[in-house]
Amino acid sequence: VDEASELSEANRLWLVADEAIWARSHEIVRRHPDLDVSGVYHTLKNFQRSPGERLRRGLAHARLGPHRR
Amino acid sequence: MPDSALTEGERRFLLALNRRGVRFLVVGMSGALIQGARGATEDIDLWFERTSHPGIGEAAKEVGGVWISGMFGMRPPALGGDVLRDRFDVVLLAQGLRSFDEEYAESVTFDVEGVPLRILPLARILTSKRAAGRPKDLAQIPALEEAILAASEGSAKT
Repeated sequence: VDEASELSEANRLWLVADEAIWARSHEIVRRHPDLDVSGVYHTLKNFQRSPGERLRRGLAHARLGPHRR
Repeated sequence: MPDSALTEGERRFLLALNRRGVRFLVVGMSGALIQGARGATEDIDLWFERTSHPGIGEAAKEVGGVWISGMFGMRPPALGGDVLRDRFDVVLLAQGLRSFDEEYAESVTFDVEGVPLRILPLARILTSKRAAGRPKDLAQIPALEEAILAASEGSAKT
């Protein structure tokens, strides 16, 4: 079964865009092998968000995390 | 989960600082997050040019917050109160960094929910984390390096 063929148009577009970010992440890691591809992927996803959204997510993650000051 | 990074009190306070010409930088991990680094922090670190600037107290008073510029008992300068709460940290010792003027001159400006903020660039935050050298600072270094390199590849938006 082709899983992608069952997707809605919106989800298909999301998948195509997401695949492009993964491809870009691998491309960067090929040039900088010390980096973690998953870390680069999440960084590139962050770059697509507004500065306020980036900060909001980081502050929210700290509140949910196990290591408090 | 709230849909704003800043509370209304925090936002009004930062705008009031800007309006009064108080020079400050957002440093530390909060500054890195704004620039796209992945990670988490509990605080928004503010480095003031001088904590004796009267505009800081005026801005805090305007929004109903508390500002005590001097060392008080065991604690550093106090910025908070019922409206501003406890997320702003006043940075007194910026480890590994140059003078405020030098860092300010090379800072980058981001609009965070309608508030223009001067922020220490990622490379300088990395320098300060390396200089601080605490486990929590060192743990953030890989995310900073990823963001610096990814941004240098032309992927960052501001």
